[in-house]
Amino acid sequence: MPDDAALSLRLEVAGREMSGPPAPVSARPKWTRYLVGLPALALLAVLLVPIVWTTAWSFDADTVFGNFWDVLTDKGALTAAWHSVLWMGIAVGLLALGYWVAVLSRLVQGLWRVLLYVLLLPFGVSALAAGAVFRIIFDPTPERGMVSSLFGAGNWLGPDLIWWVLASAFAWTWLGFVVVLFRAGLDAHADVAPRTFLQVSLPRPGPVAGVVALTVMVAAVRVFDLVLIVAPGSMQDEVDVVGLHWWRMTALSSDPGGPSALAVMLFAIVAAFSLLGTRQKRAMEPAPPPARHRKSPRRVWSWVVGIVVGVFWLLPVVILLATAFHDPEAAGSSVWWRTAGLGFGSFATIGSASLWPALLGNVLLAGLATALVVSIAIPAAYLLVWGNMPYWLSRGLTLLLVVLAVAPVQMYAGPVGDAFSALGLAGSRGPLALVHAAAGLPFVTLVLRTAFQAAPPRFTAEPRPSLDAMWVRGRYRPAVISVVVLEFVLVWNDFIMGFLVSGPGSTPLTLLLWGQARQFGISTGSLSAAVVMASVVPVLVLLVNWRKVVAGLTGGAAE
Amino acid sequence: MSGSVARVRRRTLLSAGASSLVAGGAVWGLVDGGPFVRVAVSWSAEELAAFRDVLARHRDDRTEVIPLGDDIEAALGARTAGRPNMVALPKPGHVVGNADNLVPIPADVWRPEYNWIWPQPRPYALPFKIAHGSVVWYRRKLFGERGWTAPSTWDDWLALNRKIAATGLAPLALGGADGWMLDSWFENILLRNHTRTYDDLARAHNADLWRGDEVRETFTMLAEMWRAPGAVSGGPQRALLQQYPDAVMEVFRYDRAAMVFAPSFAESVTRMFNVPDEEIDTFVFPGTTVNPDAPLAVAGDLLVLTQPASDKTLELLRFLATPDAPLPWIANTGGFIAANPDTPTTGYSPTLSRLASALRAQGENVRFDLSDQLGAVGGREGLQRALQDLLEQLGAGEPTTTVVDRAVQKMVSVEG
Repeated sequence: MPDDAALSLRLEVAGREMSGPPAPVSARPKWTRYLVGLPALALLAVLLVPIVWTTAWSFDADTVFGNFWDVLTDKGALTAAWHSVLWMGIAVGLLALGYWVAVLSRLVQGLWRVLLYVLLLPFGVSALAAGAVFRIIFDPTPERGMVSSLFGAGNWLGPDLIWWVLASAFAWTWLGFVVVLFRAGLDAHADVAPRTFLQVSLPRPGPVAGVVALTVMVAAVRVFDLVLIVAPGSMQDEVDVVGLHWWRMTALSSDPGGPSALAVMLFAIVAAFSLLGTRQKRAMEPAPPPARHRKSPRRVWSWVVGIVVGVFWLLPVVILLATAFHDPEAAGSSVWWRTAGLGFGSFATIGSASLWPALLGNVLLAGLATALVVSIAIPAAYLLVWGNMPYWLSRGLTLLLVVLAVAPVQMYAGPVGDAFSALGLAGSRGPLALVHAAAGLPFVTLVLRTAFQAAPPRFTAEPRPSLDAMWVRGRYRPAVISVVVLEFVLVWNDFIMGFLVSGPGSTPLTLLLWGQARQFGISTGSLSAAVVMASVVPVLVLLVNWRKVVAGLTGGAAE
Repeated sequence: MSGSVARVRRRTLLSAGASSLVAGGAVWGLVDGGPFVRVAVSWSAEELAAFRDVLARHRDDRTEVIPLGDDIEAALGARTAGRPNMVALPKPGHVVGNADNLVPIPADVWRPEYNWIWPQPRPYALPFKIAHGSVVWYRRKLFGERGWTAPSTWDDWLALNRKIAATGLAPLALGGADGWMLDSWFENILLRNHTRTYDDLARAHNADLWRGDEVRETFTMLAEMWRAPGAVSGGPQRALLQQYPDAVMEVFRYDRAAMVFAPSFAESVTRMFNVPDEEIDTFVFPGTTVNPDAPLAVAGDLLVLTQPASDKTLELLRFLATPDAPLPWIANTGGFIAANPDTPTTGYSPTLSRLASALRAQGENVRFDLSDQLGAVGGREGLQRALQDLLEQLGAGEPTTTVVDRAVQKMVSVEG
């Protein structure tokens, strides 16, 4: 155990154990240790109070359920709800594809090392940016849109085909996340017997499957900015989803009742999903001795599939970069492979549109929100695991966090927005970072809680580790790094929260993107330059740290 | 010795403290958003950059521009998160409904020439940029080569379209993804032929007006022009996916269409894509008969102040009201006709200059864009939707009477 010796040595060098009184934690009076959970409670209130408020708004004083009835009989709302169901179907399809690619990826180790980065890259790109890229690819003008120029002018953004464009953009963003986590799960459960379905043997990814499925399903139900940017004005109704419908309702009426009822219904659906998701835990029987893989036709196929997927996932990146390196005039009137008009003109246009302050503003916003949420969530997760709380309390708190983790922004945006307006905080980044931190707290605490629980026995054999140990090098570090990375990328790429809570002025980078998007086609050049500039930081942060992120999310399964 | 060291050290400390305070303040300014005047605009891309150029000449350049696109009216709502201090919006219809949230424009920046845009006694909106809204653009050289002449009546126009379509070229380009572009067809037919009905519709929300013969006739004329074989570049379905600049490009860049009906600010698109000015010509939207007294449609972006207007906001408004404020926009981007009559017009291109003087020559015989006065009735779920549906159903081959009936029904239901 030389590793352990090094670990304890480092702990002493860090000086933390020496700085405080050497009293063991268990000697403290019982109630004081709950004090470290107070900031988390305060932050949760930022989320809970407006949620209660919205729920109160949704009930009508006279008819009680009148608003709900109005929503259920509103044709537009029902169409939007049906589309959200379709999105769940898209999520299921994506999960199946991701599982399949993950299974095949185990047969092609060499290729996997490259494929992994290709697949993960889009996960660092915001939905707004991904949508912009796919709208550029499927632009209906044959001189400009790649697909239209290759296959003749098709109405790719028209009523039928637009669903394919939306689904592709969604899949492009999320497949990497699904594949990488499934793969980590498969590797960790390689010695568990595969399940057979219709005589096909399906290796088991273990409990991570539930987390992945839940995350992707919730993302699909909460789709907002993707639709907003991909669909041309005439198509917005054809692909309306609940989140967008809510926003249009709020903009049109001064009565918050209708939109609140819609938000409550959306929340109820995703909350039910997430509670179901936490229930499925199955025992797994061990596998028979594994048969060694020989050169099989499956291996060849795996190579083919891997390369095809890799090329398709890399293509949007190539197209984006090639488009961005054209002058606005060339990018706005011809397809990306034309050599005429190559240059930095589009970047210059973006540079003059306050790019640098916007980048700095985003660093500060994402950095502040991340620092807040992580420093508050660590003690909270620590208490949940080692706080000696009564079972009903820790179980209840965990379920509350599970439900809050999937709460749609629409559930609290109304009251928080009102509060921002009343206090004159519109466009301020500090308070917005606080709301971001509150919104991220449930998810971050849950991830940390899972990671702490998965701590090796030598730690849990003691009554509990000290709270300080959570921050320093050691077992818990991958989990902490993974939530730091995810929260940073999430806040960096946010559109909907800033837009709905604080008005669009507060998230400068997506604003820069949005500012180019109204006249989409002719702005292709500056738009793609803006997408590139907005995506560099989160993509790098994600790719550099992905190993730790995966380890953190799978409770160390990957390492 | 030690005293001077102490002094130096104290000074260093002080200055370090001061500079760290300044740095901290700057960082907090970025975190906090700072004391910005926040201006919401509907402009995007080139026009947005042009407005930033304009603001850059303001003495106190602590202004944040928020591009809201076609959802600009959301900025005025009482329940809008983070209401901006100033809104530049093209839709006066939304100003009337939200007057409670607004601050009147100070009298000293008001010009009598603005009265026709804002006839109400208490002005809440200052015209900044105006546009000639009854212009049809065409390729001058092409018309010359083929011997085509600009039409002066609606029937001339239908005949010209047939002639052009017979050559395999589409006579018209439409940008149906921007619903307002279809709106303006409806409005111009109504305005140029039935001015009184236009005024009635603008004045009163009344479902019966939408059931009337003149509205029906307008929808029918529109459907007949759009449904003619080969009339719309790319066909109605693709026209619905195209935005307004794309329609301009269909004519002046891709040579797929001969004419496009678009407001005078389309000049910024032709300028961005280097279309030579001598390639461009325009004619006034024709009525059923030649009627020189028929009013022209005018559109514009109006500056509105939200409650409570700070001194900084008022200062910015006063700056934007000066004649020279829009000069960078006129010089670098184009498509801008200044609302202020004293703004020098030497920077206009010949085409824009012609359109600007045509508009001025009309005096008070102009009408503000109808749908922009109607609020939600003229908006995305109102007239725009009705016309997008009409175009889509024409593309699906439905008979004219059916699509017209549905359009009327839609408007009656929205108004009712």
